[in-house]
Amino acid sequence: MTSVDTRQTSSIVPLQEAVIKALTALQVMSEQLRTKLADHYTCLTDEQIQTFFAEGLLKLEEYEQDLLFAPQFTVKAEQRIAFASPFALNVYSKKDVEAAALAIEALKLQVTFRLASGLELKVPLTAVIAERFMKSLHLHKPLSDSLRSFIERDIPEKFRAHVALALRDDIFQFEKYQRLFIELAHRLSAKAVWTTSQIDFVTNVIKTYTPQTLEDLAEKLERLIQSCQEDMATAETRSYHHPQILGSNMGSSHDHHEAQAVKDNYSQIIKNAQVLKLLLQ
Amino acid sequence: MMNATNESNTQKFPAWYDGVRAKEVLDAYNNGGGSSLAADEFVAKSILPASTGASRDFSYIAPELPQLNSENCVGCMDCVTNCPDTAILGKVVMPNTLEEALAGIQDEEYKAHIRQQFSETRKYYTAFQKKHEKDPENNPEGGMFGIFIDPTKCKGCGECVAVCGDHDALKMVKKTPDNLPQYLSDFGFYRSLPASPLTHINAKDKRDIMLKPAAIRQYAGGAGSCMGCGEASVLRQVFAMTHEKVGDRYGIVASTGCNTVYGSTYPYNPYAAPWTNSLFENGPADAMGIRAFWDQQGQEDWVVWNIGGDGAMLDIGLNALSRLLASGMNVKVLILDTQVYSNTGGQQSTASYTAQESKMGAHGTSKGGKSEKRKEIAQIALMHPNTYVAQTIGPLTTHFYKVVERALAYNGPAVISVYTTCQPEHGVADDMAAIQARNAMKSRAFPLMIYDPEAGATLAQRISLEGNPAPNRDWVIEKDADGNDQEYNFLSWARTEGRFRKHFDKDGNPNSQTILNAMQDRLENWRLIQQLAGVSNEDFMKSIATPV
Repeated sequence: MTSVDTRQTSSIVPLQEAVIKALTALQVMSEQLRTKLADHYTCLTDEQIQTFFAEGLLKLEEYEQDLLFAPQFTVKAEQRIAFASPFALNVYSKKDVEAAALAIEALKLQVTFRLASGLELKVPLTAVIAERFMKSLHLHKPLSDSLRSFIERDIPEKFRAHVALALRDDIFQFEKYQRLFIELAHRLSAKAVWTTSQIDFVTNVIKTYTPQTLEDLAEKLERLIQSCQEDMATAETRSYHHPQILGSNMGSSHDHHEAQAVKDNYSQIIKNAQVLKLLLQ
Repeated sequence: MMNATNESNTQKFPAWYDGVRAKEVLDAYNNGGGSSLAADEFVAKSILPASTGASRDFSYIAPELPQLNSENCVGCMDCVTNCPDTAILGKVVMPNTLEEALAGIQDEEYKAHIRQQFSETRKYYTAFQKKHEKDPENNPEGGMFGIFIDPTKCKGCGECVAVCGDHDALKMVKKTPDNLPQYLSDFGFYRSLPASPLTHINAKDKRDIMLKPAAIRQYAGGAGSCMGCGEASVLRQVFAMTHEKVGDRYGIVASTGCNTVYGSTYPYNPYAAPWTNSLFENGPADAMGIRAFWDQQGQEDWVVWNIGGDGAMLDIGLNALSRLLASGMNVKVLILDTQVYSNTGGQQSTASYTAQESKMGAHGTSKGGKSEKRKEIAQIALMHPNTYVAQTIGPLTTHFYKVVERALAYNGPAVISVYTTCQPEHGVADDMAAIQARNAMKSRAFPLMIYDPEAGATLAQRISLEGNPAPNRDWVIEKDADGNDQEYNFLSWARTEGRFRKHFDKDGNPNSQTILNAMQDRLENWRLIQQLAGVSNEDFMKSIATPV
């Protein structure tokens, strides 16, 4: 059963202005965009990119622009909190966002890219780019009245925006998961153990393992801990994905480095799970 | 109103195929009871039925599984294309078809969850919907796009997350007994849907081939390759494109190597096409025999692929490969170049780089890894008469598919040498196949090159270096955070791989002459192919103009 967002939508003008400011600021061209330009449009040199931006871009369909520019203009999880905090409790519809993107395009602004060589190139700030940026903020995802009231009333001010953004996830359209989060949040408040890491952990655990009750959550946390412990025990004998090995890590063996990365990651999961388990007792 | 058309999902077995026995064998192996089975005709003849890898259950392997944030997905298909295990698949489904399928789900929460796996991407939804609204008679409506994980195939390498990159549409989550069942259910839903409509498969974007069930089936997964294996994703792409061009009219001769070990572990066969294994040294001879027989039978339009690693093709089987190329026979050769004998424990091959540490190329007090220079098979191959040659990497899908299409169309021998990341032997993480291949290319360790005998009258016209960054420079020059020029050279890439780690100090500075020799070797190789391609290198021109 979902709860419906009944509030009037917020004025999108302040968000629109913030988006314009972010998108008209200098953009360092990402490696992924550079790779896409090389792979799909044979733009291997700065001159070729310059020509493509001036001539080729105009010939692209909107979906092709989206495929090309989406990686550059997706707001990453870590940047999302910083950017979207002032708007975290606002209500915007998908239509509001799409209209705002069109309004931004109508201003005929430009995005400036700085390439690895230092060359700066401009492209039109299109609705495709603006919409990608705005939708990746997920502010158009509903936040129910009850959740909003709860956040404003019961969440420490320092964490309100973070919680409001985390609760935009689709899973929290269900009242039972809202209730579960609220119950956990009350227990976190009572023990004064709020951290952003813990907020993310709680919302991710609910999304990934969909506990039906607090008792069910306790059991699932136990199995999560066990699963992490089992993989940590065999980490030295198997490989895992982890961030790229850098030169500074060359002193240690690769396998050991990988195993340590696994252990560090899973240790943090276990730590967060144990904190949560204590709250459930 | 124009309707979307579907490709059939059904597959017929040939009359000789004993499906009951095959199921009995697969069930026994999946449940650990393979050793108690009686011998059968397949074993007696060393035959593995096609595509049995599809039945292999690897769900006990992955420590983590990918989780989709469909809101951020643009439908680029990079994750699907680069998966080595056919474990992540895309689907376009028409909205009414999706609603009909969802109507069969009673649990409202699960229904919502499934709905969230789909999104209205610009590529498959908005682009079509806009045209449909203008002219419904001639344009189908927009399709919903979803990504689904097959947890029985996913090994948890995280390659899909790495190539998704800044799209931020995928992340890895810990697999536990609590979320695994949902992945299985979700994938069951994916399988219950009709095939993606042909109308929505983008002919301009080759990555969309992987939306076709027949293309996906060419390499069904269930192979015993390592997590994130760079070879397996290349094999998937090659045979998907081959099927796209010639349908089922192709066969594979595999020279012994990793590909034959993970690709033929009884009773699991990932291939849909006829496949045979020959030893390291005689795959090309075997392929020539099949070519000759098919030609004799009037099957000149059938494609023969000979696949092998650098050990088979550059070392043990080079004579046979050279004989094949000299014959002018229409055989396509795919070299999976891991620069090491990955299969037998990581011995040095002639494709290994100078300074690379490997077995028989150990790094010690008297020797710092391999001291010889790397052999360049592409240059050797192109000196054979009328041979199409390409050197490429899998994750550059446009370049990669372009050379595969051209090799298939070329009426004569064709060699495609592909850099393939080997995680255990290169000393890189499981999700790094695409990133390390791109960086190897960028660092000039493995430049892209195409030699097309029909592309012009001169060598320079026939050789293309299209796809390499800064093609007229020695190295790629970038600005660092402070705006200073920063060279991306062989060392920049080598220091990110464990196989070269002993040549760098703890700060990443080179500490041996051997690694500097390796860099010089790569520079000389790059300059050589620039000269062959008629590309003027401004750095080289400056260096020879400067009085000593």
